[in-house]
Amino acid sequence: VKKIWRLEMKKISKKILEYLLEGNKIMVDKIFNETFSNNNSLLLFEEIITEVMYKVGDLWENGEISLAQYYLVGNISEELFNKYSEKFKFSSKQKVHDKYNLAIVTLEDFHGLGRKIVLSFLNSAGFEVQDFGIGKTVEEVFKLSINKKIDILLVSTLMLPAALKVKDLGEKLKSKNPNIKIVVGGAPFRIDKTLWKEVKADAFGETASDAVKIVKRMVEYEKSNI
Amino acid sequence: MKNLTSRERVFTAVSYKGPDRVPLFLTFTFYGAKELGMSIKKYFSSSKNVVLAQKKLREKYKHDFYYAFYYASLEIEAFGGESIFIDDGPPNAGEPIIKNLSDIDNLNVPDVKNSEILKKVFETEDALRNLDAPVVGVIISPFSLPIMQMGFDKYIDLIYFQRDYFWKLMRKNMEYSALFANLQLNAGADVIVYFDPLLSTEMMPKNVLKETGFIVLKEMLKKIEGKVAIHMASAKVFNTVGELINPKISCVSFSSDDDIKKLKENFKGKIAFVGNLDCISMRHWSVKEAEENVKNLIQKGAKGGGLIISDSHGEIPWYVNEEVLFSISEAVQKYGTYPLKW
Repeated sequence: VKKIWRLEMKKISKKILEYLLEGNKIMVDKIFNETFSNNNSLLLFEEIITEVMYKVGDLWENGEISLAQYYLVGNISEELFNKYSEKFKFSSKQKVHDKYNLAIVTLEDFHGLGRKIVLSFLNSAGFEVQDFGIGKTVEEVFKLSINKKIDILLVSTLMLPAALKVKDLGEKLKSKNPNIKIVVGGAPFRIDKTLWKEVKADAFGETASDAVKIVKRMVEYEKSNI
Repeated sequence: MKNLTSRERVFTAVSYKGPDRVPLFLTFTFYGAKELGMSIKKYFSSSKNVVLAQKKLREKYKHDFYYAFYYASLEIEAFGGESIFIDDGPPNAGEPIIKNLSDIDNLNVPDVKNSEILKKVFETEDALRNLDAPVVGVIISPFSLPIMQMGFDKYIDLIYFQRDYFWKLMRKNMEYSALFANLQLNAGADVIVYFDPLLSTEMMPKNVLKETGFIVLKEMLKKIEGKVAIHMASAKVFNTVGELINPKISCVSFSSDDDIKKLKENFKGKIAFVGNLDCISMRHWSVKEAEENVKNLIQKGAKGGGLIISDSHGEIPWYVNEEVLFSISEAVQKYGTYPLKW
């Protein structure tokens, strides 16, 4: 029965991905509506969405889909996650990963697409993430992270100067909170694969799906150390 | 072969005739401020600074063009928006000027001819016109301009879900961009670079481009009264180039992930290529690495012309040091002389 159910879920995920890549929100919503009919659906929803996100991450990494499609997948998934959370009364407290303080920011740059995609993916995977927004300076991100007691900070950058500033940010943050983890992403890090180490980040996510995997891994590691 | 002027060298190369050597474009924008020892904001406040730096940098690195490009968000300033300056990189577009659909209805096309902001570009082109190197003017394409006008996420939503308003915006942007391009050509630009990163299939799926960006480009080619080069910033171009074959388009950028061999096998004689030194890693290249990278590029892609060596993004970063730039220039002289010996 489990095997049949798995196959069925795979078929559904495939169809959902197809519609998501077309930006066909109506059809995705229709499938969700047919599939999730009771309040035990959260885990099922998460499972399907996570599979879709991992798949879409692979497609992006292999150059098989465009940035616009990647954004649409994240955005529509997030919107529907919120809709069905509301419908089945999943309060944020029921979210499985809410023990850690997560935040995301676009450092210095005023283009926030990368941040938006990662945020959508993390939200859809059940993480509560504080959005520090776009165009923030090192000083502003430092203050916000300390005040909000952030455990994992995701930093998105578009241009090289901002990417290089992650080093200053990390040093300042770790002098106050040595356990904080800094995860970076964005074009400069994708083009220069050694840059994340140079700026002393803890991890680099090539894709939004990577960001979900990295955060999950970090959370699991923290759990095992309690 | 006799030594050609930079102008002759570039035009011979793009028409797939063998020039004396492979042309080199070092895309100095805000890097000019570094050369003149002033802040980027002050540098871009006057065309005199830009003209002086363009001349100095060309003399210093012996490359083959004058670049009249200031920064992308200058065009947003012309629409009434703002630029945010930083110390070591390109200014960034500030708050989007289009926040909802009615802002598209109410968007005024800038008075390009009398714009104090855009005037600096025309002055730069006028001061550099008819010298021995071509003057390259730039427009941000009407199709990519909304990334700054309204933010990338909102713009993707507009393209997918509000196609009527997308076209409303395109009509206004096309009117503005065509005028900006043609006034630059009148001022002294020899060619207009049509900066359109969204035309890459890395950014937008081809089926959507066929209904949007490619149509905009075709319309713009009818309106622009001169030669056009397409630049997709650092994005991959291979899947798009086939759509760009047009007598008006002389060359296209290619990214550090594109393969020049493959590009030339497919499009030789139809369009020339400009690229593809990786300007992100260039920052920590050694002098030797710079030389090797140029040598490899020439080896792979310079045979028979059709190649201009440049970076893949269209802007040399602040932190690239002078020794690396000298090494790039020297390597082009050393290995790029036609007929190629290897």
